[in-house]
Amino acid sequence: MKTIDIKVIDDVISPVSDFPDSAIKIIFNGTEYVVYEEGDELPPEPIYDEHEQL
Amino acid sequence: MSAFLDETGTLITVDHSNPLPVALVAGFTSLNDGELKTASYANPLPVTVVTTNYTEEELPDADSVAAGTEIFNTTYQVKMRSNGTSWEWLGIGKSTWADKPATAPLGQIICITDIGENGSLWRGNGAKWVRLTQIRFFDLASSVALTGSTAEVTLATISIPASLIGAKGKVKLYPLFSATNNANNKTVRVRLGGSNGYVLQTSGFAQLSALVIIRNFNSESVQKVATGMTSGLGLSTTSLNTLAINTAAATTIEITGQLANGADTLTLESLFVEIV
Repeated sequence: MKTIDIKVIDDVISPVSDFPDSAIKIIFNGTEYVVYEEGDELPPEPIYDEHEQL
Repeated sequence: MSAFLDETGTLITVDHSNPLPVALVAGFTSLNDGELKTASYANPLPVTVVTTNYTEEELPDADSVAAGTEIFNTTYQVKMRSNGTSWEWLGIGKSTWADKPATAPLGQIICITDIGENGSLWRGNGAKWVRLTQIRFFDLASSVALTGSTAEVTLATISIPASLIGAKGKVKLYPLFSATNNANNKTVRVRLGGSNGYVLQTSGFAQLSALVIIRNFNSESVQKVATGMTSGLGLSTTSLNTLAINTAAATTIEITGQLANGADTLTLESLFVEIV
């Protein structure tokens, strides 16, 4: 697992470097980009549907 | 039996009833009595090919050599023949986008090795290089999720080399998003050179699949982009976004996301980009 720092240009948050090609999942957590690669334990998937299931 | 007259008018006859054995050329195969035979390389015929190598800069003027002279251009990795006035390529050259020939002779084809999934073919029209097919230019390697912030956050950045799009070119972006399905707004933006092209602010969705087209309008510095529509296609009372980004210079396309509630999640699951 790696992290990538951020920069802010014109009120838009961006990574300071390119995302690595080896990444399998990237999450911006509010402060930095967290890069998950092969072999890293992935975080649980977010619950996307908050509506009541029919 | 066959017959023909030689140059002196003498009738020559040939008896084919007992044909000579046919020798196999090294590396070729043939059926002999139903059995596959492959010739060996043990005793190849001596072949000597002499071709002079030149870099593009070292290339002599085509009218200073005899018509029919052939050389090998080491810069673009292609054999060339002089027609007495210019050099004609005898195959497909290759180059990176940045180092391609400044002139694009009519009909000559070049493989641009660093543009497209495994390179791309371009053909000269006498003035510039024109792509022969649409190009899959970019494919996102992994999903990029946004949470914990209400700021606008970059989810993907695509570098566009100078003059790649062309005056009549279009960039087609196919993003696929997932999001927390609730009443909180999520905003998706596609920016060209820092200017908003496509903007969609909406709520109540768990997935969004869109097609966003950035169109150059017969100029490398005039673009129009449909905006505000959920899928990027269809009707809208919103005006087109008109941009004035000079794509004759290198620029970028950015996909950004923004949450109204930082507890939600917006994920760019996939994105691929074509240039047509």
